[in-house]
Amino acid sequence: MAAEGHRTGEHAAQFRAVGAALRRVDEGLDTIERRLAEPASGATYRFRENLTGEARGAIRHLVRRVRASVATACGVFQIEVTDRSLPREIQEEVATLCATLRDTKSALTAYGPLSREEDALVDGCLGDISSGLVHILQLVEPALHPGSRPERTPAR
Amino acid sequence: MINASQVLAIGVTLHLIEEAVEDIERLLSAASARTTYRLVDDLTPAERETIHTSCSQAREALGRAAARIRTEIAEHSLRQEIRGQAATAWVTLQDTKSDALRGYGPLSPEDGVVVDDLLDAISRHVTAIFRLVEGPLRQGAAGTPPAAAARQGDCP
Repeated sequence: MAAEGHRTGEHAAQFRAVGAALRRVDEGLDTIERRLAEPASGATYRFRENLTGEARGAIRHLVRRVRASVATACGVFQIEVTDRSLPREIQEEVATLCATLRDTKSALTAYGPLSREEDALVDGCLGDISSGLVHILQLVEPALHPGSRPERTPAR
Repeated sequence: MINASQVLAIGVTLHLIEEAVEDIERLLSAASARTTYRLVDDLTPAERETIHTSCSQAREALGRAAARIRTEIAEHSLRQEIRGQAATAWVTLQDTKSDALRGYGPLSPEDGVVVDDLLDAISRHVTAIFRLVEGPLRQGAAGTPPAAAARQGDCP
């Protein structure tokens, strides 16, 4: 199967299953690397720094080894490297968030009534965030339709 | 003042948004190739800059909202986060081994060995990451047996 490497023959579904699994593992490695590298706190969360520097180094080393094994498997199974568009990724993130914001506001009344002042407070806070997100959406929209924009950077 | 459930609902939303804003910032700063995918950077420098600015503004709005609504700061364990990612990767790999692939069609014993060997090679490194972080979840709890983790089988 692996040596034949055909993605359209009798093993096509199996190739796809292996490819999907390897992509999920690859994304999991991204998350681990990001968590190791990111600042440990934000406005809404804080990470307990419960790993030593030595452990962090060891994990980074192992992540590289996992990636090498994934690359080997990708080569054997001829898994295609997929292209992802940066504006599309951003658009999906932001669109999901806008929906989450809307849902949050409408769901709040399920937990109890809001006074006029409370309603205004929530609207103000969520609206403040929402307007920034909508701005990002508007920005990436032309990038998703290349013909509408004259200036472009070459894709890497 | 809005009730505790409402505060919690808003807090969860703010946290999701903060994570996503961080994801967008990461995408902007790390357009690159991974093992299984390539992020195509097709934004202009001006667009990137404006999106960065919008992300900063969204973060500021998040901070203001979190302070005004007095949402709790969620505390996460870096160790637990990495352990979760490693466990998920391990399960994904196990679910893709030859026995599972035979559900998609016939697979010769020889091909099954090739698949299993490749996935096992990745699993071994993922297991090593899991083992590294399977210690006590809370700082200061040294010596606490990671019983729940240890009971979950070979790796996770």
